[in-house]
Amino acid sequence: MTPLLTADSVAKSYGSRRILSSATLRAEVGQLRVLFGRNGIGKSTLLKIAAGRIAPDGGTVQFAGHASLNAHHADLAARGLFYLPDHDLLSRAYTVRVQLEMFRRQFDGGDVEAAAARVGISAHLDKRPTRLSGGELRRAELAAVIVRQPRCLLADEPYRGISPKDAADMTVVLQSLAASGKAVLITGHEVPTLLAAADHITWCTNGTTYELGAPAVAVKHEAFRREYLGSGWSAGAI
Amino acid sequence: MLPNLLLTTLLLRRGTRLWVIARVAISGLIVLSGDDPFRLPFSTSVGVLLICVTLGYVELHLNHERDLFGNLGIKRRSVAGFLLGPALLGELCVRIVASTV
Repeated sequence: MTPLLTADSVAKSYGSRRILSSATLRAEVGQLRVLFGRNGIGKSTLLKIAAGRIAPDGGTVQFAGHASLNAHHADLAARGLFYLPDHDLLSRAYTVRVQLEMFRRQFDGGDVEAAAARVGISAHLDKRPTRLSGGELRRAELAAVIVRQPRCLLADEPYRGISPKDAADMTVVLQSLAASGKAVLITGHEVPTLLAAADHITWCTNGTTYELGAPAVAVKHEAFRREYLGSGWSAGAI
Repeated sequence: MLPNLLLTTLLLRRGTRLWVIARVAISGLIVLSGDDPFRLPFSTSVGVLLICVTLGYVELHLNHERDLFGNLGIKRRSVAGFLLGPALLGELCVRIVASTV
């Protein structure tokens, strides 16, 4: 199957520091893919390049059949991509309801009230994001994804700073998005949660990426276990 | 991609607010220097427009709106256009009124 999104042979440096040398990222329709990697290894950079948020030094981004050397976020978003950053998706200037309504009207999206109810933020719709807790804010951002109904979701550490209950609810939403034919790709360090939820694991290390396959296969990869999961990891946890 | 009516209204409202702030500030300085704030040189009017766009980008940054507008398919130059529009119209109106009084 041809991936909906491919960021191919991506290279990126910040000053003299090379972050990525030849990394590849794929998002497949109907799959929840997880990108693992240690902090500072370039996961977020790779995700931002795939989303057109920053320009790579080399490599291409192909989304929905269109290839580009310098993809722009707004163009990709107009064609169905949604980039969920690790913080601050929503504006501080408007209420959550207004911002969800923006997505509904812009893309003829889903019902705002239903999306809010699904993630449990109905009581917070008329608040500004600055008045929400970290977990409520993350759920409000997820409501924006539900309203938007993107073809492809790239989410950078969506589980960061949320409670186990919120994490479980988020997993249900992400899995249902994938099951409904969306391509979902997320990063994170919540290994047991992500391995249990994922269809496919990609590992980012030393400026490149490795497609490890299904979680059950990935956890048997010796270097992945040694360098990322650590010696204390037990495959029985998934 | 063009913004929907809700977004357009919000951006134009913001553009208008920023123009009023920039115009009042510049006019205050001009009054203090003893000149007529309604008969500005062309270059000063252009300066007001540039201040509006700059303030708009600062507000965009402070509100963390880059990813929001990106996900809505709105490019930054489109946002700049909506911020510039009310300022341009406002400056034109001031010039027309000043020339008829």
